[in-house]
Amino acid sequence: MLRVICSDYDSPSSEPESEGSDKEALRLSSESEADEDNLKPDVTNPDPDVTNSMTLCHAGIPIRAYSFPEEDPGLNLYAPFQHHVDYRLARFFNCAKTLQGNIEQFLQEGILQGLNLAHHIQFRSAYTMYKLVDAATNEPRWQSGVVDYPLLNGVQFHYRNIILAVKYLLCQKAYAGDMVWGPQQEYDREGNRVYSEINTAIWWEDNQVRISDILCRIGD
Amino acid sequence: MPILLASDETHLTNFSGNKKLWPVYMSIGNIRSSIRNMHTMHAWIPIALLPVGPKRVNKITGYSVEMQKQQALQTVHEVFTHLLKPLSDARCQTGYEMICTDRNVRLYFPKLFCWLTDHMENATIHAITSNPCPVCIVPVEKLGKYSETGYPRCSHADYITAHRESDALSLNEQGVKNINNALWSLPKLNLPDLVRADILHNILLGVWKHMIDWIQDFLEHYERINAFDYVWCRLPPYPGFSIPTKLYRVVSQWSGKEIRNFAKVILGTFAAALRQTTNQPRLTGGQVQEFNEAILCVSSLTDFHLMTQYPSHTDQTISYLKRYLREFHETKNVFLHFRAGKKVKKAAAEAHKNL
Repeated sequence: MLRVICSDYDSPSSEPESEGSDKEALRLSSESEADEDNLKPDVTNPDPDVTNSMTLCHAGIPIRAYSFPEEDPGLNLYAPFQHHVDYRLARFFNCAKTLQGNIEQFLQEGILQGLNLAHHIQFRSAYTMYKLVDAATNEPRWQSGVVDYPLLNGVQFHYRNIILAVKYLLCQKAYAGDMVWGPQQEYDREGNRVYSEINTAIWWEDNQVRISDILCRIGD
Repeated sequence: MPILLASDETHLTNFSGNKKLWPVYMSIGNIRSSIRNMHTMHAWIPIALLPVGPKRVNKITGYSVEMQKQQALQTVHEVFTHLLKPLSDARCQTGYEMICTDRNVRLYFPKLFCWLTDHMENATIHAITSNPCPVCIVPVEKLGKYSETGYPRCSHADYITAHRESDALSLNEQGVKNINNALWSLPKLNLPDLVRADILHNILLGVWKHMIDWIQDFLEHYERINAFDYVWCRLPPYPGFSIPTKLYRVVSQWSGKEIRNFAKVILGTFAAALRQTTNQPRLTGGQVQEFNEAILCVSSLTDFHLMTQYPSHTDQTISYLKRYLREFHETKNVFLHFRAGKKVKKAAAEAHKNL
């Protein structure tokens, strides 16, 4: 009854994958002080009612630091863009929400070539530019399948691998200052427990602390 | 790591093939809710477009609508199995190493935390009929009634045993469909836990939507609808509130946004309409009591709704919520006459004729 067109689910490898979009983001972050602050994990709670918060044991603590290959001179931080000028130009058009017609006009009139004779822009149209932008986001790819209902055959469905989608969300720099890694217990001025985020709920404690305790015991 | 899923079947076209789309979105509980809930942050990503089955056909001999529904549900659950396969993988027990935004590598144990959706889709996901509760074993006749102690939660372990023994009768009695539920394959998952409180479906499109009809019938019954319209049309604007452009009873479709707007002003408007004395007949003692109870009922629901929107809760606020809920159930009988469904109203009218 169920047929899958694309390749079947492949278990993601245990080795963490480097993310193309993250490379660019990390390079840019070094240029901006405000962005640099975002890289630090923020454990403060924005809720004004909460006066005291406590992180529980070792749950959520990293197993190691990830050494990003930024120092490698052969690494293209702007992949899939070949040059930082192409990357910055695409970034400008995207951030400024420039209309596709205006982008086409800009590229046809060759304004950038007039300013810098040595540089040839990698993309010739708005379409090819956005294809490169899409490739840079490194989103998990879609797969398709077909199901047969008793009265209707060949109904298509599409899906993504959940684990790859989780990996994609976890490495998004935009959330860097707003991520929580372990359970927390929060209290107000009167000492009452406050429940604000999922990680302050008992469910998270029950699940993550139990798992990390088991792992610690195995490690001991 | 909590994985959050949300889905809602969407009707796309009316006259060109009745197209429908059934998207499933995913997010993770590690992102703070303030960021996760901003649509511009794209923290919810589409994870699947589920297949939409064909319409049921009545006129096939030997192939009843019930059989068609059963087989369509089984097909949907086969797709769920495929979609959720990574979560039932043995790797979920040993953990995945993942790079985090803070340049650290952590060991992750993904676990399904919730599946946000409306009741009909909950029935599909839990493979139950549309009447029973997906969370607890509450008798159908007790649905909608307040219970201080609650009811025992559904035991899917028993359902799995009954399914393996092909005990369709026992499953039918409990309102469970005799199919192989895809979520049974997920380790350490308690299915009733997947249903989480949801303001949009439970309060706005749930109780408030019914309350809108009850209030209208109540006002018409006591000839206060014109007084209500008078106040409704003169509501002043303020930040976060858009003035209603239509009369209350003229609005044909109440979506979540309109109900949210309505809930902000209904208590004041309703109370003003009922308390108006000019050009109104003198109230009897019974009517005054009914009006007070109706206002208290709407007030309890408004308080409950406002309190559910708090960004954080303590045991005290949760006790307030319980109190408002109890008050609502104690006073809702004032709308009992207007809560009757079509069948009951028809039966009542026929009984009245016979008299």
